[in-house]
Amino acid sequence: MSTTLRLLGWKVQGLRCPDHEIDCCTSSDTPARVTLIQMPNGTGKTTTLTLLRAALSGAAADWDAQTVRSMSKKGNDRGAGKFELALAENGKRITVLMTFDFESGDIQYRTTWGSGQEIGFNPPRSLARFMNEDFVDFYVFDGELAENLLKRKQTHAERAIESLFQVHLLEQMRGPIESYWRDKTSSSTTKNQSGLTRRLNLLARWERRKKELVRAEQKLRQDLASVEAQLASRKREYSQQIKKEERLADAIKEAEEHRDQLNAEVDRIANNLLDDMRAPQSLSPSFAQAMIALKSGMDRLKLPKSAAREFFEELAQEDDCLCGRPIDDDVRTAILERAQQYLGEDNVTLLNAVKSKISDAIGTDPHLPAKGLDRTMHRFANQMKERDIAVTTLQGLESKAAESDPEVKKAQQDIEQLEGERNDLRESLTVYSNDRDERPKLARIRTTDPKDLFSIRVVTEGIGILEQQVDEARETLDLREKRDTLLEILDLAHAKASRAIAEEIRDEANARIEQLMPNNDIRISEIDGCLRLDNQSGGSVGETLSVAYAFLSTLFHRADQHQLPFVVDSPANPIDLAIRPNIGALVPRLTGQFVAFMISSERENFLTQLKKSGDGDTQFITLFRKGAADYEASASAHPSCVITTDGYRVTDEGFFNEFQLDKEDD
Amino acid sequence: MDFAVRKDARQWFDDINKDLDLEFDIFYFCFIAGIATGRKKTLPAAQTDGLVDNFPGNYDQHKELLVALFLCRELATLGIEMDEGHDVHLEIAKLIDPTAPNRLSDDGVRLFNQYSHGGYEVLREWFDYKPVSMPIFLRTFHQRVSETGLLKQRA
Repeated sequence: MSTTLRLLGWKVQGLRCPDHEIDCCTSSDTPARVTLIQMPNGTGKTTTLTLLRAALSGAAADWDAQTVRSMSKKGNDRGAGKFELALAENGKRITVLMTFDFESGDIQYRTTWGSGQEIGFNPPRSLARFMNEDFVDFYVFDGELAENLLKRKQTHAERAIESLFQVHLLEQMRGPIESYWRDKTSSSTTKNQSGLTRRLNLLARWERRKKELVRAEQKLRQDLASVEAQLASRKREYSQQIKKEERLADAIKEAEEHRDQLNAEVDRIANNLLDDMRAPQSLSPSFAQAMIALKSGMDRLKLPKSAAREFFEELAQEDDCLCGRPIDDDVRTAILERAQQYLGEDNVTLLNAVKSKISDAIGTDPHLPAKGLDRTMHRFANQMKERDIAVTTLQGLESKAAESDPEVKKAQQDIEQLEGERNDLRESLTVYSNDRDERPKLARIRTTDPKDLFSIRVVTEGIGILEQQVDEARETLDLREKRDTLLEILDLAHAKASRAIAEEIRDEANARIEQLMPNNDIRISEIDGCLRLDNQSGGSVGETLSVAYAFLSTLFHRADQHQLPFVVDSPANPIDLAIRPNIGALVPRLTGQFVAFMISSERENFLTQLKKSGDGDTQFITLFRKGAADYEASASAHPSCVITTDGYRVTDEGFFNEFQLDKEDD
Repeated sequence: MDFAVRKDARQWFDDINKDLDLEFDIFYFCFIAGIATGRKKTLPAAQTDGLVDNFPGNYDQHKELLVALFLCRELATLGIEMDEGHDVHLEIAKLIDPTAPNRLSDDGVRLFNQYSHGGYEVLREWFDYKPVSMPIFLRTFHQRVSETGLLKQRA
C-alpha cells in the first residue's frame, strides 16, 4: 500500500529556539508544496531540525539527562518544555507530542492517531519503515548527511537504497530460515558431518560384529550337523549290530519307546505342575491358612470400611452435618483426622477383591488347595520313578548287547561320545540366542561394545537402531544443506538486487547531476556503501550537496509510491551562485512537500526558480528572536505577525524578501 | 516400580531356565522361599535386574492372593495382630496402591523384592546343587515349602 506522509506543522514552547508555531498548511490540513522558513543563524534552526528528527523517529527516548537539559531555553523557569508535531498519513492526522522535564532530565512521548492518545512513540505500523532513526535523516536532511553520503567509511547511501527498496527483507528472511532449522534439529544430536561419521563408524562396527557372529554360528551349526549325521550313522550301525541278536534288539527297541513315552509324560506333568505351583495357596496349607486368617481379621475389623475416606473429606467441606448439626472448624478438623482411618475408594475396591479371591480360591478349608497339588505331585513322583526304571532297564539291555558283541560296544561308546559332542555344540549355540540378557544393553547402544554381545537377534536390532540414527543424521545434514543453499540464494539475491538497483540509481543520479551542473564533470562512479565519485574522493561542499540532491531525487523518484516530506537545512548556502537556479528548480520536485530552513543570503539566484518550481504554492515564513529592533517594528505592522515570549513570526513573501539578517546576536 | 530379581539367582537357574516360560518364575520361587521363612534382604540395584511392573502370564489370576500372602507375612513380621485395627489399617494403606499394575505401592514393591532377594539364600540352603532338571527342582521345591509352611517369626 502506498504511503503519503506530510508535515502539517509544529509548535515549540520552552526550548532553545524561540517559542513558535509553524503551520505548513495554506488551507485546512493541506500543506503547501513549498514552505520556506527563514531563520537567521542563532535563532535555533539546528534545534528545530533536531526536534523534528526526534519527533519523526522516537530517538529522544534514548537521550541522556544532560542532552535533554541542553534543550532548555535560557531562563526557562518553568522547568518544562514541549514540542508538538502534526503529521498526516494519507490524509489521516497523527500528532507526536514530546514533553520535556528539565528537572528530571526526561522526555515523555505521546502519540495520537486513530483510536486516541497513547503514551510513548507509537506511530502506525505502516510508517514504521520511515519513522525510525535510520531513515529519518534521508528526508530531514542537512549538509552533514550530504557529506556522509560520500564518506568512504559511511554506508548511508547503501542503507538509503536498502530501506527504500526493502532489499533488507532478503536479509531478514535469514531469521525464519535459521529458526526453522533450529526447531527441526533441536532434538537431533548430530548436526554436522563428524557426527554422521561417528554414527557410520559405530554402525560399521556392529555390522562387522554381526558378520562375525553369523559366521561363528554357521560354523557351529555345520559342526552340529556333521556330529548329528555321524551320530545317526553310528546309531544305524548300532541297530544293525543289535539286530544280529533279534530278541535283544526287540527288547532294546521296546525299552527305548517306553522310556521316550515316560519322558514325554514327565515333561507334560512337570509343565502342569509348574502352572499349579504358581497359585500360592496350593503350595502349603499354612499359606492358605494365613490368607483365610487375613480375610477373617479384615471382616472383624470391618476392613475395608463401607464408607470411603472421600465421603468424610467431602462432608468436612459442608456447613452442616448429615444429622443437621453445624460443622465448625473443630468438628471439621476432627472429621478430616478420622477420615484417615478409612481407606480411599480405590483401596476399598482392591481389598474387597482380595477378600473375594481368598473366598473363591481357598474357601474355608486351608488344606483343600494343597491336596490337589499333592495328588499331582504324587503322580508325578511315580511317573518319574517309572521313567527311572525304564532308563535303568534300557541301560541294562544295552550293556548286555555290548558285552555280547565288541562292535556293539564300540558303537555304543561312539554314540555316547557323539551325544556328548552334540550336547556341547547345542549348548554353545544357545549363546547366540541369549536375547533376554543382552537386549537391555540396546538402551545404551552408543556406549555398548558390540564385542560384548553374542545374540544375533539383539545385534541385528541394534543395527536397526543405528541405521535409524544414521538416517536421522543424514536427514539433518540434508536439511542443513538445503538451509545453506537457501541462505546462499538469499545472499546472492541480496547482492545482485543491491548491485542492480545501485547501478540504476547511479546512472539516473548522474543524469540529474548533469542537468544540475552542466559544466561540471563530477559523476558517481559506483555506490558501494557510500557514493564514490569518479577520480576523486569528494567534491566541494556545493558539489557534495548537489550530488546528494541528485541522489535523493533519484531515490524519491524511484520510490514514488511512497511520498515523504523533504526537509532541508540550508538548501543552497554552500552552492555556487551559477548552480543555484538548477537546484532551486530541482528540490521542490523531489517530493510533494518541500520544507527548507534558510538564511537571507541563500535567496539570491535560488528563490526565483524555487518559487517557479513550486507551482505558486509556496509559503514564506520568517522567524527571528526578539531584540532585532529594526525588524520588530516592520514585522508588527504585518497582519500575519505573531509575537511570542521571545520571538516574531511573519508569514509574508514581501517581508521574507526584505529581511536581511543572517545572524542574530546571542 | 518394577519387580527385580537377583543376578546371581538368574545364573543359579540357568540350566533349567529354558524350561521356564516366564522369567518371573525365578523371582517367584525366590519370593515364596523368602515369604515361607520370613527372610528379607536389601541389595544394591547393581546386583539385581528389573523385570516387570505387573504380575505376568498366569500370575495375573493369582495377584490378589500373592498380595494377600505378602500382607500376612509383613504384618506378622511387624508383630501386628489382626485385632489391632488401626495398625493393620495403616500398614495395609502403606503397602498397597490400587492404581499400580501390581497393586503395590513403591514401598510395597521394595519389600516384595526384599523377600525374593532373601528367598534366594533360602533356596541355596534347601538345594545342595544348582538345579539341572526342572522336574527334580519342582519336586524338591514343593517338598521344602510344604515342610516349612509359613514359619512363625520370633518377635
